[in-house]
Order: sequence, then C-alpha cells, then structure tokens
Amino acid sequence: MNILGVSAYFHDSSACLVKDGKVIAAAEEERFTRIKHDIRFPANAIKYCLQAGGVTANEIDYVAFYEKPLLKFERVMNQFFHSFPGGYWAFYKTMPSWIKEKISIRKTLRKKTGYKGKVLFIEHHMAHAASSYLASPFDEAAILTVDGVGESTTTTLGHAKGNEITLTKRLEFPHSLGLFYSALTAYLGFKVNNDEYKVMGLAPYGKPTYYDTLRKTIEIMDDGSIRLDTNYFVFDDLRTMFTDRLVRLLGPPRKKGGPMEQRHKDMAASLQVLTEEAVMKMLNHLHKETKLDNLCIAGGVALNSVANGKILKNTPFKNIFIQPAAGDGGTAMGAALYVYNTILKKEREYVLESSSLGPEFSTDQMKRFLDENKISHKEFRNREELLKETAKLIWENNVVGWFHGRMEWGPRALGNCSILANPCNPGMKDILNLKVKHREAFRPFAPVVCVEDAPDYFECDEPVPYPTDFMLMVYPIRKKKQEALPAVTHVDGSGRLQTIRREQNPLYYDLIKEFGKLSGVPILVNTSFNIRGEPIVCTPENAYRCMMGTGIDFLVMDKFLISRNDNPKDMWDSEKVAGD
Amino acid sequence: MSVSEFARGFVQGFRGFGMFVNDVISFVLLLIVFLVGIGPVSLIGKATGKRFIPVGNEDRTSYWAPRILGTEAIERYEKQY
Repeated sequence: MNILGVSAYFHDSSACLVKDGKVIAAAEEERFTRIKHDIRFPANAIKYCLQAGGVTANEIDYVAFYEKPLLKFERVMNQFFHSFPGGYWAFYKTMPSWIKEKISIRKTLRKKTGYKGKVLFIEHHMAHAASSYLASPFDEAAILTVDGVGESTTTTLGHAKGNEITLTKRLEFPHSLGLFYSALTAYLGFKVNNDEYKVMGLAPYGKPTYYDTLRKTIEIMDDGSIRLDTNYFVFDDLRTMFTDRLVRLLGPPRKKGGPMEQRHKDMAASLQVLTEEAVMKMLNHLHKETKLDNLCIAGGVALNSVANGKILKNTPFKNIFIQPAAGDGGTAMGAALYVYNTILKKEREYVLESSSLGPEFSTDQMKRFLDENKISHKEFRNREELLKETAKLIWENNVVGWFHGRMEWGPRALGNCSILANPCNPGMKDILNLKVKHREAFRPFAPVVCVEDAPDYFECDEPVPYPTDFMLMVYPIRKKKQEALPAVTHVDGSGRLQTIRREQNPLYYDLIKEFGKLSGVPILVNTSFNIRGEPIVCTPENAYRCMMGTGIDFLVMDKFLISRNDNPKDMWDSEKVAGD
Repeated sequence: MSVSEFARGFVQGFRGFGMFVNDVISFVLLLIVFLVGIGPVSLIGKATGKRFIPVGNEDRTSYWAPRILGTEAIERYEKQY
C-alpha cells in the first residue's frame, strides 16, 4: 500500500512516501527549486518520492494532506471580520491564493501529478502529533504539539497508545507561543518563519533583563496555558506582527541588518527564558495528566534545541522523541503515517532512526557530472584512503564539503550534505564565516560526536536521547573540554551537538573517529552545506557550485576529491547572493 | 537593436502591462468583496457582541480548551472541514 503525504501553501512544502508502513522517501520542495522555505505545491518533491518508491501516481492508494483547508479558511475569514475596516492589504494578498490553490488541492494534485484517487485531510496538529509519535520507538507516549498556528489551533496536549492518538486540550489562535516568538523575531530585525533560530543563538549573549517587561505581553499560567495581550501583537500581516504599543513598551525595533545592541541581546535572552518557562509548564502539566514516561514533541517550537536540552532535567519525563523535520515540513510524513497506522489501522512497522530520506546520486552519476563538466578531481583508491586523507585535510584546517548518500530530511545537515571543519582551531568560526557562510558573527557552529563519546565532552542526558541524533538538543560542553573545542563552544559554554551512531552513517562515523586519532578529539564542526539564504545542496552540481562560489577548500563527493584550487574560480560570488 | 530584441522587449513589456491590469482589476474586485462581503458581517457581528477571535482579558486559571480529537471514520477525512 502506497500513501503520499503532502504539505503545501504555508511554509516548507514537502512530500513523503509511505510504502507498506515504512517511510521510503521524504523531502522538502525548497531543495529542488532552490527557493528557501518554498511554499508552492511540492511537485518536485512528489516526483522524487514516486521515483524513489518506484511507483506511479496511479499506484498511490491515498494522498494525505497536512491540514483541513476549509477550517483554516474559516479562521482566516474570522481574522478579517475581526480586523475590519483594517486588514484589506492582507485580504488582497491572500485571497487569490485561497481561491486558486488552497481550497482546490484535489484539482491541483490531479493536474500536476495525474493522481485521481482519494485525498484525506488530516488536522494540522494531528499531523504534527503523528509525525512524532508514529515515527518514534514508543508504544505509548504523551504528546505536545506547539507551533505558530494550524487551522485555528496553536498548541495541543494529548497522548497515544498503539496506533491511536488522542489530542485532549488545545490553545486557540491568536494565543500562540510560536507566534509570540516570531513577533519578537520580527521586532529584533530578523525574518519571521526563518530566523527564529538566530534569536535562539543570540540569547546567550544577553541577560533576561526584559523578562518582567515582556511578561506584560503574555500571561503564562501554572499549567502552561498562555494568553497573549493582543494589544501588542497583530497577526493578520506577517510583515509586522507587532503593534506600536509594543514599540512604546520595548523601544524602537531593530532594523534589518542594523547594529545589534546589548538591549537586543537582552530581549532575546528574556524571550528564550519565557519560552522555556511556558514549555516546561506545559510539559509538567502534560505529565500530571498522562503520567507517562515517554514524550513526543512536534511543531516549530520543537526546533528550539536550547529548550529541548532542558526538558528531561526539568520535567518528570524519562524519554523524548522529536523527529528531524519537527516544523511544518514534517507534517507530510505525519499525515501519511496517520492514514496508514491510525485511520487504516495497520500495524506500526516504522521507527525513524535516520534522517537520510532524500535523493542520492550513484558513483557513476557523480563521475559523469565531473567528466562532463571537465572538473579536475582525484579518485580515492579505497575507503581507508578517503577517510585518512579527508581527516588529514580537516585537521590541517581546510574547510571540507561532504556530499555522500541521501539528502537529509528536515532543516539540519546531519552528515550527508555537510560542511566539515576542525573544531580545535580557535579561528575556525571566523574562517567559516569569512569564507563560506557569511552569517552573523554571534551564531555558533555545531559539533558532531560519536554517541558513545558524547558524555565525555557534553553534560548531556544519559542515555543520550534520540533527538540528539538530529541536532535538536543543546547541552553544556564540559568545562575542562571547552578549551579544546573553541570553534563549537558557544558564548555560554553550550553546544548544539549532533550524535551519530555507526549504523546510521558508517562512513561519517568512521571519519569522526579518524579525525579523533589525529587530533585527540573525536568531534567535527558540522554545518549545513549551503551559504546563507540558500537551501542545503541537493545535487552534485549544487555542491560543486557552492564550493567554487565560496571558500570551501575541498569537496569530498562519494569517492572523489575535488580541490577548489585545481578548478576555475569565481563561477559566482557567494557574498553577493548571501541573504537570509 | 535587432528585430528579435525589439520583439522580445515588446512581448515582455506587453506581458508586464497585462499583469499590471490584472493587479488593478483584482485590487478593485477584491476591494468590493471586502467592503460588501466582509464589512457588513463584521459590523453586524461586532454590534451583536460576536467575538470572531478570542481576544481580550479573561479572569481564568487556565486557558486550555478541552477538545477530544481522536480517530474518526475514513469518510470524515475526505472533507476539507
């Protein structure tokens, strides 16, 4: 049985193919179109999923869509009724897409894929809940979904057992922790639905001196339920998200690209503290209600890895699962698994142990690409040579692009489409920023470590929780190890680590171990293979272009080593295209 | 300027003009819908005390709304609402 999950028209359009209960393929549309957070119908991602599964559109039994469009439309209309006589600009901007696309998904599917079968519409937060629980190793779990807004729900609590998921409580729009975070992200001069993680990275530079002030705008109850004071926020236009009253409360907002003052850092710190307070209260309340040891979280707020790293210490939960695409992209997977396991009541056979669900290229395809484009390269004789030479290049402070295996599912590069570097070099953060990433100096780089070595270097929960494999937990780096890891130690001594188990990616795992033999530290810098403003690379061409347009020194692509110095430079100027 | 360049520029210009006209018509038509459709519903609703969105102060100890959402018959999922 083949079920195609689809998420589209909000942010991070994606597709996922579930074949006989197992996730065969999943990818975000942005990787194919090269438009970050592409919201359009995921025609390319669907095409890839069908190819990977070896099925045609006619062989799909059901399409599972990640929300109920008319429920969402009702909420959008209520917003217009509420804000009338204001709100015309938002009405003018959104109505055409509602009429043309959003409520005619069946027609679009038929037109773009040829699929003529049934489309099942799963409520947005149920799709989130399913994306975490039905991909988890748990037979029973408490569930928290928390994001900006689904149809009209912003947060849900629930529980699941076997194939059944029940959501029991919810918060309604506009009372949303996700929108609260996004509004302050906008206030701090960053891009909504894109830069929230930057605010999280900025927070450790500040002190939560604005906590009491921000508390005036949000009420957080003991049970974690929240209520926003809507005098301070406006959510019918994502360009602003905050009112003049918030400006009077906090002072002038930071302009995009403007100077980063200490008060901005303090606001980010205060926002992070408030977010963590709300999340911990929600979770403690959820545990009180469910008394379960296992926890599944999903939704955009579940990408707040700083908060995630504190959950097991601050709540009674013992185990936690968050899937790598915890945001809206992941709902394509959730909707498809929900149809198979819950609606059709088929046995659960799948646990998401690796994020490698995207496209991959064979050695022959890579060789053909290199030859056709006359790209100078070296071919490693064997695996051992590849590992030794790559580890040596990294140890000698070269920046190495690493393009191997299937592209990752979710927003993080986890060792298939990554840029790797030496974490022991104090100047590496600056080198990466200057040569490749062009990103804000305050943002940290992430370490990757083999799972058994993680407790030696990080004050992490033990056993190391599953989400750490997907770079979703931030932990303090042990004080005595911080000096050895200057490139990945954030200003507060923390690191957003990725743990790797050998069975997930043997080559990547062995490379880290090989680097450990040279450096004495079995850890690498792992950052996504892209430049600021572009999606992570998807094809050999994307990878080569990214290397040549930036300061990446070498590209290791399957068994081929490509040196930037051996090939014509200045294909394009990455600095010119670096955006948000 | 060659003929083909002129033709290309002409087509592009005409297409841009078409899009501009399209935008203007959409703007006007949607404005009419907004004023005639959204306006009266909003005004009548507000006059009768209807809250379209749950805003404003409430003296409560919890804002969780109970809602049991579980598995339903497959036909229910075929609906967009």
